[in-house]
Amino acid sequence: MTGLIDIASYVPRTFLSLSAAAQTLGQRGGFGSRSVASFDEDTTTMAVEAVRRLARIDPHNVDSLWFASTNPAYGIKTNAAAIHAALRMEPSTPAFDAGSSLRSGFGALRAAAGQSGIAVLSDMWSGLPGGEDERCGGDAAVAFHFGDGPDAIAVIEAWESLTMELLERWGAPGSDMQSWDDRFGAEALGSNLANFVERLFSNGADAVVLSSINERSAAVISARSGKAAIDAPLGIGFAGVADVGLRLIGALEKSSEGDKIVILLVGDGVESLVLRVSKGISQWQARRTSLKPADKREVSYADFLSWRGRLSRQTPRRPEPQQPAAPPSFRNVGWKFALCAGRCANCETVHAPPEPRCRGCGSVDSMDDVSLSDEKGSVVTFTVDNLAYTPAPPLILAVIDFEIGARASFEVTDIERDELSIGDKVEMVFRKLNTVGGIHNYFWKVRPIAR
Amino acid sequence: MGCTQFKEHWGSSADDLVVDAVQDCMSSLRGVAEVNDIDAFWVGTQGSGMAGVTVSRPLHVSAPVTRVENYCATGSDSLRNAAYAVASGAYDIVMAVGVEKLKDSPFSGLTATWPPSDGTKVDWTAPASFSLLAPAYSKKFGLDDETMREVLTHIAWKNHQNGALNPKAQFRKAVSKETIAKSASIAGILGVFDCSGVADGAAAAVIVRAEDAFKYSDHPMFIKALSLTSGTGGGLREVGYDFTTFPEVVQCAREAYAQAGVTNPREQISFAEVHDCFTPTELVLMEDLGFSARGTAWQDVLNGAFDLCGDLPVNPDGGLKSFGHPIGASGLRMLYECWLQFAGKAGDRQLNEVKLALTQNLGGQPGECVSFVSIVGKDLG
Repeated sequence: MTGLIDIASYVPRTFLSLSAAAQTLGQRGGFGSRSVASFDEDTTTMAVEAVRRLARIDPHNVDSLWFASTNPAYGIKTNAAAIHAALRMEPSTPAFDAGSSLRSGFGALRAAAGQSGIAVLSDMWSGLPGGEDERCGGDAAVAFHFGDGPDAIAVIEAWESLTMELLERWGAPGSDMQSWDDRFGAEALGSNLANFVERLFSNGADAVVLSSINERSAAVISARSGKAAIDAPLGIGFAGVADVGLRLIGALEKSSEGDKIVILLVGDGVESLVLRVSKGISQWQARRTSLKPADKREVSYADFLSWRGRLSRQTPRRPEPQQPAAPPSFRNVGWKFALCAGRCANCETVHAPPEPRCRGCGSVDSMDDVSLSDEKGSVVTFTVDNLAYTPAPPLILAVIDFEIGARASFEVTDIERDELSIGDKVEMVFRKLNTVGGIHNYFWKVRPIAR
Repeated sequence: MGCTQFKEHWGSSADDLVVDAVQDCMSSLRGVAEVNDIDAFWVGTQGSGMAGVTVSRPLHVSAPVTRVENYCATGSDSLRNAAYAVASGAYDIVMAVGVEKLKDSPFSGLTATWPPSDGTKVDWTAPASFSLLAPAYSKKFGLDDETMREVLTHIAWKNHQNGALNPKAQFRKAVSKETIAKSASIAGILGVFDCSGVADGAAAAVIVRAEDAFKYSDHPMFIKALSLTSGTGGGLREVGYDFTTFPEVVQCAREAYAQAGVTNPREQISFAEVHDCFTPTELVLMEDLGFSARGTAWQDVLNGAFDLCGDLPVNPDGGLKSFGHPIGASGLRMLYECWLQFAGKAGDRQLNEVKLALTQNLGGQPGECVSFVSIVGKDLG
């Protein structure tokens, strides 16, 4: 019986204070905060981080990988392939982008569940400055791992669909969304529901996970189900396709074995998934960690607008970076996407990146892969470069030693300029260095380990 | 030897600078009427010309010309290769020319065009990579931030003092220590005054066999040692390097001292021109070259040992700091100052009783660099 083996979220450390944003725009109000993907994150990098947080996945044994986002980094080129490479999955594992509509997330879940695979739902949701989408939006990614096994967190009891062709919200991928009238959307939904909701709840439910960009539609559903839906997690916001995943995690954190959870996604109708919480729940709950307040970093509203491309700012007189070239990126796909160093088969000297000739014994073409992505590093030295080109000055870089006996240099991310010291321990994170000529330059950076 | 002024030569192209430097050089010689009398050329330039036509075209010669590039040690390496060609007997009289037009580019600081890559190399600037030396040195030898700042300030101050006495330097005004210490950070502890000037310029040298030298000049300079070390890059890729030294310089200097028979550099070297691309570089070089014992150069700096009137003057012509750093020309400019000092033509900077000088020219960054050292002398013996 197919079940949910694991589910993990990635929420960026950066947040925007909504009162600070309102103040800048001369608006009233603004309460709480929303999560913000850093300038060097996108839906692909967040997806990689979410999948990395799944426990017990054997990259060589994943049957399929599905990616969904309304804000994909690439069209035409498969974003899931980058995630596939970062996790060192087998070439025989299919990887697909499920699409860029709000409903695509559920399509990805259905596909992954049907093929014992991983679905990762990742989004950056915002809108025009001062608008509701900017204020109520959020950035996050959630990874679901489906499969057979006795230790599933929950088993799948049913999928139910109600598909409607409805012009409610629309826009090109990554663009500002347009909408018709929320009352119209809710009304249209309500008039088409028939017994859909009542049937789902005929045997009761212990928790309801309801994701809907249209709050009036959500209210219609709630009224029909007669049960209150679980609240969204605080401080994040509506994170597009990932929203349903974040809410489900919230429900699972409070659930017990045997609970029935009804998940509903409103958008072009309603999609539903019914789960029965299973044996693996307590282990999952014990493993669960969330972002500590001490690790959160506030971004100014001006920087937030710059990161989102809405505010061009003066940069130092430095040339634009060169775009990554396809042949070297292909030759070095292990290093670039999965941080695979090379360990000499003869003398075990580790090279980061791999080299054709071993520094220890001179052997040629003797390198075996050893991934450094889960290794902790230590700062040998670092500096703050105020002159270098970077989307978010200044550039902070560090020379890092790994316990495995390798050394390499990386940009440091998620810190202010004066927060690093020699000897600090760092972890590796998957980020986007820059975008040049429409090509996204993905690679790893370091950041101090969470307190 | 010859050398143009180093400055922002908005009105001069690379061709113009080559012609000017070569003319300056030729006018210092006798017995050589024209460039056509030169047997072969080596041209050092990092990005201001490709192939030998960089000099054969503006000079209108048809001759062997090798283009040399070795990061910021380019100028020195052009001379090194030219010298070996004479020493091998292949040629009788050769010329090394270094030229750079950095100010035709709109960007701040040095730039380079790298081959296409996978995009994973951190694109840091030169100031950033050399700024790594300062905290490492401080930590290892127990300096607090204030003391390190004082040391670096003294180095910048000294080089500006010297440059103020040099009509060919880019910056010819002395700068106060307060101004230096207060300038905004470019990278790490380095402010504007800790970084060498970006300039255009050219320099040239004519090299012949030692026994023929006096045919061409009353005050030739004699080459006692030439050494170049291009490193493994292990500093950035192997655990162990601590950013307080340049192993490439240590090895390179050892070979040069052996060639020249120098056993006590601090006593035997009269003055030195070293690669002060950034102030902490000069600090570290004092120890790598054996002028100061490990961990003590900072004291020697503060005591004025390397000032113009000190024990062992370093960068009497103002160094990269105030003379400026047109990459291809700098190594030759260092030798030009040595040549002027030995000839008694260094004007207000003239040092007394000079016998042996050392030039050190560095390219790359801490952890992966190329080092050149030459030892030159006033006398043949």
